[in-house]
Amino acid sequence: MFREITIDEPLEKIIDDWDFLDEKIVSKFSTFRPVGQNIFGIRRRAITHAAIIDPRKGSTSGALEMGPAGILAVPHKPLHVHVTTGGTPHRVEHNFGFWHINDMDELYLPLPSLPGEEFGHMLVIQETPVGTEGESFAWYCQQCLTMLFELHYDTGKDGFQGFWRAEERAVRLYNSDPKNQLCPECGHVNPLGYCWNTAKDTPEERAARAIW
Amino acid sequence: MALVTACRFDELADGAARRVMVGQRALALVRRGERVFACLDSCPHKGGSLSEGRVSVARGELICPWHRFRFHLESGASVTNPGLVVPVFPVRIEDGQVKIELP
Repeated sequence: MFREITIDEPLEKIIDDWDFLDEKIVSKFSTFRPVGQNIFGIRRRAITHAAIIDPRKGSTSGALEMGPAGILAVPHKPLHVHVTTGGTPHRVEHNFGFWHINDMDELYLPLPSLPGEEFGHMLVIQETPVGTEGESFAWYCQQCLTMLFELHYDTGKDGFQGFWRAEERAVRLYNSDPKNQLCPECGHVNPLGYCWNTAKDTPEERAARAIW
Repeated sequence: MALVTACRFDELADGAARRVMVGQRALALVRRGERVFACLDSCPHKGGSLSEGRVSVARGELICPWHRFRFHLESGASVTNPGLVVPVFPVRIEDGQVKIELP
């Protein structure tokens, strides 16, 4: 991961852009944007040791990962790098309503605000998938962790530009059939999924975002 | 095709998975009633040991303990992702021995 950072343009043309946290740069990375071999996202957040607050979504402090021991809380702390290793299902409560299973490692670095400023920045960096590498949007039963539904996206083959369409498609497919939310193992009825972008929420999905 | 003896049938607990080494291959054997299923003991997602996973007897599935991907015992195909398949091998039970057809 991150073995090399390359850019297509001559360095002197973009030298002013190397301050990633300049507001005009941050706005370009508000979703995700490929840069060389990696994909960067920079989000404005109120970041303290107690919580990470998204101005539109509220608290997004509940970072979770799933492994052999079950679900683990992996709270993001200011100035601490956290790496979610490739293949690990992970999600952030109230932020995106699915488990993201990415073949690539993802690095998180919360940068608290400077004195006198309301917002800091959450940096998210992942290696660009190539070839057969891809990712899944998945749902597990809240009660017993049985895998309920999964949509795989061949990012390496179909390109990162289709990522958000795939995310929305996965959420719509999962939500479209109540059977998908019904656990075949324990019978628990699980909440609807929702996208990362709040603008895509239906009223029902907005309600789901509030509870998980 | 080689027919290889893996273990005795009565060594397998009903509704559970067990790892056996057959030559250089690690296999997961699952007994479901009077039938036995065999697959590679490596999840096609990230290589988790399927023999350490749980068996859903009712649904005929083997579940990876790492990230809970579910695989049909018969076909080896993931229940949720058709592109994800664990190789499976035909099994015969002869004279109380579990024999596996390997390519």
